[in-house]
Amino acid sequence: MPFDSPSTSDPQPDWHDLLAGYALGSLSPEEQTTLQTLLTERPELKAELLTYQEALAMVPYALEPQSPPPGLEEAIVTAANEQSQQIQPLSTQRRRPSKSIGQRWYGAAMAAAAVVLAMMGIDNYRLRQRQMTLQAELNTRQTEIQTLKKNLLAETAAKPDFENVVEILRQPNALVYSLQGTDDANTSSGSLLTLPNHSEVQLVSHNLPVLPDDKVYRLWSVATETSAPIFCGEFNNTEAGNVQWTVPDALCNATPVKVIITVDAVIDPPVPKGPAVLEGSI
Amino acid sequence: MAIQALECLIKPMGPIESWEDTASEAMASDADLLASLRAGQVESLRTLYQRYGRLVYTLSRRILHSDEEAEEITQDVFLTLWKKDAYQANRGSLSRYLVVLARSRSIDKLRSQTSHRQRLNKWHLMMADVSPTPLDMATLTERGERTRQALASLSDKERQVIESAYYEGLSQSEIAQRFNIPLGTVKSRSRQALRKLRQTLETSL
Repeated sequence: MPFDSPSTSDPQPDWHDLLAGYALGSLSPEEQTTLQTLLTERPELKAELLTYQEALAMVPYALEPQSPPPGLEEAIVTAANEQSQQIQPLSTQRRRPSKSIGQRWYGAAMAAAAVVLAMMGIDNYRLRQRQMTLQAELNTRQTEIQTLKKNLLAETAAKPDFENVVEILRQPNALVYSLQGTDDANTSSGSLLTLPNHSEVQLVSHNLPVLPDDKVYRLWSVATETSAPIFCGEFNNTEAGNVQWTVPDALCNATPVKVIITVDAVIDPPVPKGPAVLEGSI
Repeated sequence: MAIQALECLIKPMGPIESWEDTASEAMASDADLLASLRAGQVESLRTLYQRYGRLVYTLSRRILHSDEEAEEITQDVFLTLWKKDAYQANRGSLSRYLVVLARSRSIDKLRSQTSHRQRLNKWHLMMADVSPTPLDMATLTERGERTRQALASLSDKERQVIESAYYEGLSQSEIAQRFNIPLGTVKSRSRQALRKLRQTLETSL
């Protein structure tokens, strides 16, 4: 183990080498990491490190002492006095011989510093509290915004396509079938709107539930009292009770005397089999 | 840099009496002088200057090779001691704090004022000026003697790399370039030199 080799004659890099390198400021990044680890593992080596630093700091004592110019001492003292005069009120206090005044000033300064620190601490606490309050408020507002967005989307989706309905109703030959719920859906009602020779129909309903995926509404057209119902397309309702679809048979547009809406299974063949939920006539 | 780390880690050491001016108040401790310095007694600064001014000036002059610049650094160091309460007694002796501060400021000045080439030229000029200068001081401290002996125990090459790093703040690669030796040699040689120095000085530290 290189770290356990205290001999200065050891040719391998050891901790003495690292400590000397550190004191000289010449460690590579890798060596610095190694030394840091070493000092963490063996904190007692910090004392050894100190001896290397001390040894290096002794180097200038070997110099031949040189006397500074005779005037330097007075220049330094004069400059120190000038600096003291420039720095008020510290300089005033500094020049006074009384230690007690100095100590009082020091105490006052420390007290003032303590007050400032305490105020900073309180301010920081208040700021943190304020920040937390604002954050909570922000979260609440964001939740509200999300809810409002959701509601708006729902309302938009729920809004019947009045434009389309109005457009049909504007036509002088508009066909409007009033639909009433049958026994199985007596609370349901609605209106079926279309135009002669027009393949699209519009249903505006009330209390006509949205069907599960395996179910479907089917519209049947009855041309005369004795005619068999003609399949005129299938659809599912929307929450808004507003749905539009295209009829598959031209006969659907032949001004039937009656329309019937049934509920069928998706897989059922297009024959009038399921129970009627809405019936209407012009 | 390691020398900056010294400011935090060096342990207390007594004043270097033989380095100080004979007129200084040798009996007053550094701690007492610092206390009165902090109380605004400029005469304490004067006494501390008389005690350590020569050491600071000598080191600065060695690094900067200029009387004027050494004077400037010395003034800067003592005025820093006067106006800033940066020195902490529990982190080392005042004398070492001043030495570290003087070296740091001198090397900063050296780097800011001269290009690498200029420094090289200056260094070579100074290498020629190896004859002993007349000393104002009649005596040297025991610590100084020991340090000299310790440095003398190094090989010329070892002393060369240590002094280049210490007095000029040269990086290992700069030393390698100057003396035309491999970088790895600079690294091992400088560390080996400091290890020897430390061993020799250990008893006096």
